[in-house]
Order: sequence, then structure tokens, then C-alpha cells
Amino acid sequence: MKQTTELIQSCINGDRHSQSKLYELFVPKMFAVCLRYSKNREEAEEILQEGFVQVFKSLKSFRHEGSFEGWVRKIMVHCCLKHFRSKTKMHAVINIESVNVNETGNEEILSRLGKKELLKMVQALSPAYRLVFNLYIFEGMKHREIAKQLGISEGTSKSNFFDAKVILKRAVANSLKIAK
Amino acid sequence: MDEDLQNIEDLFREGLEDNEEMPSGQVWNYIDKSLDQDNVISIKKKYTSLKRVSLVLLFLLIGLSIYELSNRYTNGANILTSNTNNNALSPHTNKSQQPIDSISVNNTNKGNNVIDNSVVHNFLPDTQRIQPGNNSLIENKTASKNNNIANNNTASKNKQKFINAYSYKIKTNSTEPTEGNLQTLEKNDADKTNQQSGLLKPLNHQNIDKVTRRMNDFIDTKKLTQTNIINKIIPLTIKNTIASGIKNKPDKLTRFSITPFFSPDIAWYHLQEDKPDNQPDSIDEIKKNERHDFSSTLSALIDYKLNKHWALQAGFTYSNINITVNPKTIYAQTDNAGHVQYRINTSSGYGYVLPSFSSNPAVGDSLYAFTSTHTLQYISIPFAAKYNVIKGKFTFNALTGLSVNFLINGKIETTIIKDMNNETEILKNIQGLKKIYFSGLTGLGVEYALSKRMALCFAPTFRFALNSINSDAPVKSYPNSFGFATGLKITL
Repeated sequence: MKQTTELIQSCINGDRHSQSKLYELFVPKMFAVCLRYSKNREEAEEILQEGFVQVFKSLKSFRHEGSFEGWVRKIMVHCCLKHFRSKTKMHAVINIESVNVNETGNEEILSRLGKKELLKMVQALSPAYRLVFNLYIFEGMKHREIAKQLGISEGTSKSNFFDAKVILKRAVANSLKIAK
Repeated sequence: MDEDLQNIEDLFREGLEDNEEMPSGQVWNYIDKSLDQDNVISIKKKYTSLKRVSLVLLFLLIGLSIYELSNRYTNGANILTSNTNNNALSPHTNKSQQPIDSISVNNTNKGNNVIDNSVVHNFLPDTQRIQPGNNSLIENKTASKNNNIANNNTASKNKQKFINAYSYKIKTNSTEPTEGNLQTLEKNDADKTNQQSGLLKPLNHQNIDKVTRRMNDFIDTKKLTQTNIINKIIPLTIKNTIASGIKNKPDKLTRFSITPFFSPDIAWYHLQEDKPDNQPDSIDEIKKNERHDFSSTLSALIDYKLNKHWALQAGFTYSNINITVNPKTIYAQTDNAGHVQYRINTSSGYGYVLPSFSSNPAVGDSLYAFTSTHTLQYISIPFAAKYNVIKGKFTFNALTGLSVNFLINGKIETTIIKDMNNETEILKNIQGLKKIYFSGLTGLGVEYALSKRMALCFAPTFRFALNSINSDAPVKSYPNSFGFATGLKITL
């Protein structure tokens, strides 16, 4: 903790070596966050770059009150939202076919499907679904908060989330079928 | 089914929550570069601030110079006026005689010395001023001065000069005056004086034959020296003016006054949604991403005084609005001519850029626009009515009016980054920006009179747009500002 505080202070003073260290410290987790919100690695890298520039510029405003990682993550998520908010239609309409899935335990699925496959499934979602799904599952936001963040109605948020889950369930089922 | 969906949530949460991935090494390079550019921008901003401070100082310097020059001019006029007044006040023993315009000094050592008695008069304290024609006064006051003559030769010389200044020749009974001795002052011979001055009218001296003087009284040698210097420095023009008998007119003030001022402004835009037009920059986005930097107004305003309280004001103002836009992603769109270019949206308007490293984009392609700035410069012609209340040296006023604002320059400057490439783009034509807009102005002010002609002014003024500065843009912008105008009012 003390090390991080010193590192932050050096970064505020503009020490490039410290900034590089801070970047190395948090980049694996933050890149994973960006990957979940984007459709591919290139897009995720673009957001990551924007996010870290923002982190270094805003370091002065960090008050050392909560977790630094949480603060950085918040900025990354904000950058992801900013990236998609303006150019994404949040009212995606997709015909969801009925899904028939065998009931299988998560552990078993995880053992049969890699993390990369799960990530690909999330990335394959349309941006509107992906954002709502990520915000609900990983950021722990309520639909009311998501609706406010994305400028949509609470109903749209719920509907998008439901659709996203259905699509993902189908994707998982398909993957399991292939894996068999 | 619900149970299955719940499982899906957990499946993805467990699977991806603690996931870690490493990006390509290029990401850090971009960040590194961006941080460097950020430093450059902050240095640029510092220099810009310095330039602005220099401008303010220059303005103040010009103001002070004008004030100083005006003061000198006023002092010169005062000397002339004082001379006229003295002449008018001069009582004469014989009313048929011409008034004394000036007195030539009968100085045997410096026969070409010419002095205006009023100048000497002004240099003396009130108690020591001589009213020519009043013999008793002259006697007393000259005696009083003479009483001050020091007990040495220098003082004696000074005394001589001093008395010369009054056109009286001191005949000293002894070079080393002793206490109790009396010295005699003899009136100069007017004809002799006239011969020496050459330029002046014949003098009318008072019939003062003798003035008693106490010896121990102290005379201010410094003042006497000054008096002597004055003999040398009085501008010839003044003397000539006096000599040629030109009457000095009283210092008349016109109804006009001019006020050059500088005003640092707190500026902001009031934004209204115009045509969303599927643009990525919504009103909220623009509000969040843009911030006004230092804005200022330079102005020269002319006041026309209608009566004691009311005045009309008009003139020219030059205002400068600077807005910084946070880094953001810009997207390629089809411009008005059908070409696909990257569009930058700002609160003032929009523009298209096509960097050389991405000269053939497809609609939807994106670039990263690093911190951008947009600058607007306007020349305005304000018309206002002003109500003044005068309290001693202070004048309080309230004004309200309208202003027509003409756009003279509008530009967007941004640095575009893509991969390892970057390019600075300057758009000199902000689209959607109107050439003219109207604004209202209202304010309070206070003036402090430095002299009859000069006054320091401070006038906090609120300017508000009456119509938007742009049309056919993502947002309609109404610029407002609160300025702290500080200037110097010069009555013509």
C-alpha cells in the first residue's frame, strides 16, 4: 500500500519510470476489463490507452480513500462507456430463438470451455447487450444505474440484459455440443 | 429456464472476473507519447499565460504613459492659468497702468534671465507669497523671507537670486549681514528691465522703496535654488505666449470621454440541443468535455454625456474566447461535399480533418483526437445607456445596452493520433458558426477621478448572448461572460 502511494506520488510528479511501473502493475487486469467491453483486442487496446492517459492525468484527484485498483478500474469502465455510448444504439432488437440447453454445472462447463471462449462469447454480443451485461454482472450495477449511465430506460436495460443472457446461454450450449 | 439463466450469470462472473491479459507493447508507447504531448501542451499554456500577462502590463503601461503626459499638459496649463489669475488679482496703485504680465529680472550678472513671476509665486508657500501692489504685505513678507537669509555668502547669493525673481534689487548694506541690520530693497528700473528682456511689456513696479528685513530669519536655500533653476527651465513657449499677450482660455471639457479598458472574463456557454443528427457528441458529452480557458476583452469606449446623470456609450471591443476540449475519439463521416473525413464536433461548430496518415477513411473509422482547442475572436460594437451618480471623487454608474458582435476569426486546433503517427490539424473554418450574433450587456461601475480629465474605472459587466452563435451544429451555443473591466477614462 505504501509502495503504491509512493508510486502514485512519483507519477504525479511526472516521473516516467514510475508511470511505466504503475502501468505494468495494473495493465493485465485493466486490459481484461477493456476486453470484456470491446469486440476485439484492437478496440480494447484503444480504450486501454485512452483509459491510462486519463488515469495519469487524474492522479492528483485520487484521495487515497479507497482501493486504487478500484479507482483505476472505474476510469477504465468510464472510458469503455464513453467509447460506446455515443455510437451505439442502445435499443438493439434481435430475434432470440428458443434455446434448449442441457442443465450442466458451471464448474463442469468451465472445465470444458476455456476463459478465452467465454470472453469471445461476450465480445460477440452486440455493444448494447455487452455493455448492459458487463455493467450488471461485473460492476454490480442495478438496472436503474445502468439506465442512467447509458441514457436508456430501465426497461430497455432489463430487456437487453435478458436478451444477452439468452444469447450467451445459446452460445455456451453450442460450444458444449461441439466440445462433446 | 430461470435457473439456467442464473447459472449463466455465475458462469461468466466466475470465469472472467479475475481474468488477466497482456496487451501489445505498443499501448505503452502510445501512452508515453500522449503524456509527452500533454507536457508540451501544459508548457504551451504557460507561455500563453505569460503572453497575456505581458499584454495586460503593456496596457497598463500605455495607460500610465497617457496619464503622465496628460498630467504634464494639465500642469502646464495650470501655470498659464495661474499667471492669468495672478494678473487679474494684481492690485495696482495706479489703475490706469497696464497690468503686470511678467516681471523681468534685473540681474546684472545674468542679464538675459527672464522669469514669470507666477512661477516663482507658485514655488513659494502660501505664507510667503507676495501680492504685488500691497506694500505692507510685500514689506512684511519680503522681510520675512529676508529674515531667513543665512549668515554666509552662499545664502547671500541665493537671497540675491530670490529677490531677483521678484524683480527687486537688493542693495545690501554689508555683504555679511548682521543681526539687526536693515537692508534696502530698491525697485528695479522698469526701462532697464525691458531692455534686458526684450520680449516683455513694460513693467509696472510698485512703489516700494524700502523693505525692512530681519537678519536672523532663515531662508530656504533649496527653494531659492529651485527658483533659480526655474529661471532656466521655463519653456520659452510659455514666455512667448505670455509675451505675445495671448489670453489663456479656461480648461473646457467636452461632453465626450474615451475609455480604453481591459477585461479578464469568466466565460461560459449556455448550450441547447439543436440537431442531434446521430452525432456522437451529445450536449452532455460536449458539456463534460469542454472547458473555457482564459478569455479577455480589449476595448475603447466613447461616452457622450447627455446631462449630469445620463450618458450614452458606444465604441469597439475585441474579445477572445478560448475553449479546450478533452481528448476524444472522432469518427469518419461524409462531409457536405460528399467526401469521407473525420469530423470534430465542438460547442462552437464543427470541422473536418483528413490527416495524411489516414487519407482514405471509411465511414465509421475512428481516430484519437488529442486535446483540442477552439478559439473565437469577435469585434463588437456596443451601444449602452449609462446612469451616473457622482459622490466626491467617485462616480458610480449602472449601464445596460446591446452589442453587435462580428466574428473575425474562428479556428479549431487539434492533434490527431493513430498508431505511431500524429499530426496537428488547424481548421480555420468552423462550420455552423454565424458571422454575427447579438448580445445584451449590463453592469455596474465605479470611477475614481485622478484629475479633471482622468479617472480610473472598474466596471464588472455581464454579457449574454441574445441569439446563438451557431446553427446547423450538434448544439446551439449562447456565449455568456462576466468581465472585470478596468480602464482609464479620459475626458476630451
